[in-house]
Amino acid sequence: MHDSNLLDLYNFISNIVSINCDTDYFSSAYANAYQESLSHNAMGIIGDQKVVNTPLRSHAMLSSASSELYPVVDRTLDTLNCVVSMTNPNKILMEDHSVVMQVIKENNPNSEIHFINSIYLYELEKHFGEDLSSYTSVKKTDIINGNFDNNYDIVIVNLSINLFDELFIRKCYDHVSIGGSLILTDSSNQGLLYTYRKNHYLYHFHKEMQGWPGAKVSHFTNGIPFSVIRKEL
Amino acid sequence: MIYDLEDDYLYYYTLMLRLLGMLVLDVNLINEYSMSDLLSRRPSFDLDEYLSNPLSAFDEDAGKEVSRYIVDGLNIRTVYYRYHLLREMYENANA
Repeated sequence: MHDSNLLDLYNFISNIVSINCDTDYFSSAYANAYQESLSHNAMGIIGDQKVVNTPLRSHAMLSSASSELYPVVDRTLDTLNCVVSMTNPNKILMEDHSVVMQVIKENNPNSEIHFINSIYLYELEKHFGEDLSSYTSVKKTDIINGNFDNNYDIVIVNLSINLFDELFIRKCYDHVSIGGSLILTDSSNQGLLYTYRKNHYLYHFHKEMQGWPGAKVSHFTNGIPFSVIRKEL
Repeated sequence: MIYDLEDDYLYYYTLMLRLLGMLVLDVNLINEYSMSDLLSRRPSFDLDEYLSNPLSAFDEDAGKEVSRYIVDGLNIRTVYYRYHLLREMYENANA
């Protein structure tokens, strides 16, 4: 099946799947998780309106088993792990929510893992107590400016967090080795992609990614949706 | 810690400048054309239809343009929040 048809099919399925999720489940789950995150001061996490779009909100959503969203996140991580395991990566570069990075790190003990320098890395070290002194961190500015010469079998980047920087996402794709994949997690903008469909910016961004050299784009709707851009050439 | 606060702060500072630059370009575009001109450049746009059914009011290209404006607005807000948080962290670390 042609890629564009495939993307349309995925979007069609996503839309069907997300109709109930959007109205009956996700909205209440996000609302509850958000309220929960605001009460996380006791954990040393800032629960302030002004940081609502920061990873700190997601930290609460992802790490609390009592959150309604937890089973959805759990399912997402299972699917994500499955995709990463199929690649059997030697090298991984990632920037995602701390919980995701922690799970990927634990499930790939034989892989060389590099972390993109971001506040999520800070979280992982500060709040999760991970000793990452033996790991490498990569500066975003180096990736963007090309002061960085390294290729990875898997690059994991959270699209919602980095939506504002297409250049960074494209540069990350450039650092994927042939046969490897760029995985963009949280790639439905909290389900808005399925609500606005062709009128949503992410639809067009997915179309644009299909034109990247050697890119084969797939969109997974299981749990919190993510996209896989496999580099085939 | 392998996390580098100064680099993260610098990245968001420069990103915010880049996004603000984009915003200025958009403002220039709006200044150059009146709003009615901009709307007339979207032949399929119908305000009443948009208000009653946002999904059908735009054709694909116009939808891209409109959603781009929306996303840019959200982006700048998001980046500003992150920049603000990192600036506080940076200033506290260097106090």
